[in-house]
Amino acid sequence: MNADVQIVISEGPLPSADATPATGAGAWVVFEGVVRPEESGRVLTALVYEAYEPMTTRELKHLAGRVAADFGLMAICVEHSVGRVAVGEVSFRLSVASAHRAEALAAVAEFIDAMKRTVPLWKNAEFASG
Amino acid sequence: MTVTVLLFGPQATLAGVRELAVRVDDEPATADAVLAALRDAEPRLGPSLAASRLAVNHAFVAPDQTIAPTDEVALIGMVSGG
Repeated sequence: MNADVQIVISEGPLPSADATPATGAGAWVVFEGVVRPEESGRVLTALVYEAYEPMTTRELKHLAGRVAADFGLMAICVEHSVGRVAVGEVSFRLSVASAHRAEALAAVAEFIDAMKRTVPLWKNAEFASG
Repeated sequence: MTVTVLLFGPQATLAGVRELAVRVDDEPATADAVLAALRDAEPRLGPSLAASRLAVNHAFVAPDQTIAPTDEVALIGMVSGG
């Protein structure tokens, strides 16, 4: 079964989630990464994300396809910001659908771990002045 | 051969530039040789290079991949997505 794989790279903070579970899914797990208020003990105002397109999208698609196959997912959707995202706003969303919860939860952990090691995406911290 | 390497994120910040032109004497130039040339040209990148990889034309390459004069070369390291 081929999973539905979607990759969306968009400017600024992500809009509210509006995707719905794939038909027949028993588990729909949505993880959102939110910009924290501090980094390395300093007060953060925002993160500014960089991508290297089209390689970023290609690598995310490859990783999503691999994780979907390894965990038998029905669908996987990756959304990531580029540009400025203020503290408290969402910069990353991973949504996965599967028949049962175990594989969905495991897939989310695997995808994020791998993404943080290999995918060409960078965050630059914007600190509060003073 | 001179190879221009694109830099991103913390590595661009460390080097103070978004791209670095390095001289590679090996013929043909390989990805490994380009990394070595980067280390020599910009010592501030040194500690991060061991965990970095080169991308050629938007794809990761093996250390022995040869680099053509028209290739787009990028240093992919210290990634921090998510």
